[in-house]
Amino acid sequence: MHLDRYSYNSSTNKANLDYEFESIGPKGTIMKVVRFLEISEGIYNLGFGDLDISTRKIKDDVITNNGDTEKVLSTVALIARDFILKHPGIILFIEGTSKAKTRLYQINISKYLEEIKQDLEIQGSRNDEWELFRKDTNYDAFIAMPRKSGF
Amino acid sequence: MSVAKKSSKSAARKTTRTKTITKAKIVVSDAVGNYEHDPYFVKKAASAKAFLERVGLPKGFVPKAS
Repeated sequence: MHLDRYSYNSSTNKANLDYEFESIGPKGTIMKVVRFLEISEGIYNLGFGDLDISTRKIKDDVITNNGDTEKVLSTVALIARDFILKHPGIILFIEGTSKAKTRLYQINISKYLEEIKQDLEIQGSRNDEWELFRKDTNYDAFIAMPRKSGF
Repeated sequence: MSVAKKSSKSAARKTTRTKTITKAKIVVSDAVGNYEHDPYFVKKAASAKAFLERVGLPKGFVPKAS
């Protein structure tokens, strides 16, 4: 399946922890940033948000609505996949800043699950338990890792 | 030899739908910022850590050192 995605820039540091790309839509050009922050040995959190160009800081809890949600999420998913495959053995934790955003991630994971499963394993957390991601199930957070990694 | 001509009506009814898919280009650039200490990302990481401390990891999984 070919997904529409933005081109993105990756930082030159060896760990490849920072990524930037531009969202282009009715609200103009908005710089998006993806950051992988290590929260525990081998466990990274996926963070992404809009960059405030004037302060060079990420805007907290903003809903952009630039008409390209799916393209933005596809781009973030591609970046996440590349990051995981470049760092074998790590796991990536993913959670939205709100239940609505987590649900949006869930919908998109469901939509492209067959493609994702080709090289990644996704688990979802519900009722404080982890399970292999299933469609039509509401989760609170997700974990992504290379297929067959750690098991 | 006769050449069959399509009626102008059927030709007009035919529509072609296209969708342009942009192939992502990846550029490694030293212009990309370092967001390690950005307050938003730090806050999100703290929330993620708290979640995992409460819920734990999937059974049997031990991440390798990065």
